[in-house]
Amino acid sequence: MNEKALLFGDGKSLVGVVTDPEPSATPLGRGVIILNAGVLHRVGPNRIHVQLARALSREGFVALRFDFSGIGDSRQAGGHEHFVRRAAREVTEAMDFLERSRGLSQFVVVGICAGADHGLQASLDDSRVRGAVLVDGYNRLSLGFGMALHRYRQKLLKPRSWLRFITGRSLTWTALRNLVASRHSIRAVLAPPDSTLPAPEEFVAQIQALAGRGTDLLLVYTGISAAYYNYKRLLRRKVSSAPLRERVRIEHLADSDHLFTLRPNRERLVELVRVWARDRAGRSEAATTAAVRAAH
Amino acid sequence: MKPFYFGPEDKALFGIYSAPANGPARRGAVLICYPFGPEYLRSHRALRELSQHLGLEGHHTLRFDYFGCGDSAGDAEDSTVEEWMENLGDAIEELQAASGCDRVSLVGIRLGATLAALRAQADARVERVVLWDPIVNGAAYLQELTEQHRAFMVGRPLPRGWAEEEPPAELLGAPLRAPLREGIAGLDLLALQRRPAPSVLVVSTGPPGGAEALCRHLERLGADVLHERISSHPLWLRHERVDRTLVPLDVVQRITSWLGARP
Repeated sequence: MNEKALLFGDGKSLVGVVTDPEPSATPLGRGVIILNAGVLHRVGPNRIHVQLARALSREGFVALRFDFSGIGDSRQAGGHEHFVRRAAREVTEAMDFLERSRGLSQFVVVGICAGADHGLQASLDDSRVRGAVLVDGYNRLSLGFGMALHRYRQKLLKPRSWLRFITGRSLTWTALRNLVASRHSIRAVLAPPDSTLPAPEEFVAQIQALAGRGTDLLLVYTGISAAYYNYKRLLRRKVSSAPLRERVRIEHLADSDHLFTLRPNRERLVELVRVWARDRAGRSEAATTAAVRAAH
Repeated sequence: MKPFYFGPEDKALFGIYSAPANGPARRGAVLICYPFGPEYLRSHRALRELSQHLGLEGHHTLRFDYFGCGDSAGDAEDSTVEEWMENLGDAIEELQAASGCDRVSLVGIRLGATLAALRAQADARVERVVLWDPIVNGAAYLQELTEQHRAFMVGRPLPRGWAEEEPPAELLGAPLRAPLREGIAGLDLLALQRRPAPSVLVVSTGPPGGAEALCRHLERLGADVLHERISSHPLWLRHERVDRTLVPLDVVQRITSWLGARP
């Protein structure tokens, strides 16, 4: 059994599970911190975080999945610290824990949806983060025409979509039914959320800053999401040239929904992250070796 | 609060034990039994709150993940109902050891309630049982989950070449191989031969779903049954937003107060 349950952080209030490298694996000397996807507890959507941690341990990583304060099993934090700041601080506490207990000094953070946004912030805050996997990050809803066109362009051309609409099985009808059932006013639903996300230009600057610092980024997008639209609008052109080209990899899992409901999609994401993390850890090791040789 | 693993090395189960919040236990020990698959994710927060409420009232509590579920060892594909029933027995033993209590109460939600009732009828260590929106008939439950799964998948992207098996190999993200499917389909609380415990609280938050028939059956078996109908948002009956969770506080408080009263 290479998994241990633990309490860590200030006041030992954060609940996590650390998965050490499988005995048969060669330790890679890197830790992977897996963050809550929204309000779901640390096992992640359909247990994908557990599968990911175990796959990474077979590769030689130490993986830690944990709950932010107030989510899952971790105690609600006192005080008035903003949740976004506190989450980034707690990722640092997770790295501190692995540094003390496992002697690690290089980390990869992995986050889905809101977890991706916390992962981005934590990466900016702590230079020990050498890689970040951000799945459907910056999922900021844009109500512009471009977003609507992006979401519906493909659907409008498909007879099956029209059939669903006419027979009442379309997600559009579901959304309308939910709207009525939710008893929210149209105004409340259409109003931009009180977003904790950075402005678009700031988001781009953050990605550029990380790439410039030498942090590897794997940006994964699923299906037809606001996150993917934002990527296309803000980043697509920039990632084709330096320095982003060297550090940023984009994967669009068009066949997957946001929650990885079907097993093939979960397996695909796990495999994608496992191989990317392994290759990036290897590249980093090779670069370090070359630098040491050059110094001599 | 103590998160820990227990049981055999290759089948270790993840649990969270909580001691009474204010000094020595004044009440007893309560094992909280999670539901299955998507309902597990959606009810996790509510059951954590229940554990905290019970702790404040002087109870020891243990929540744990069945084999192949949550943080426990194994893959969901290898899960069986028989193994989960054994897991319940192991968890009762852990709770006894941690709390020092000889007898325990079980609180189960949905499929967790069903498993709790089945375990309790054959386990003299169980003194009281709470069945929160219990699955009375496993086959009907699978049918319900299948319909929710199909409704959820409408209009969502699918892997290339994907063809849904019949019956589906997973429901709303929860793998369901034949042994587990057959095990769940065979569950029927109206076939219980013995009362799960002398005192049983049945809580219905949505459509009763056979709970009334269950209560009559349990009374025929000699149990003292209280059926509480608490109108609350039955979060496990909605497939649209699996990423939402909420805590039906009135249910949590009612269960806490029932377990706090003298048997």
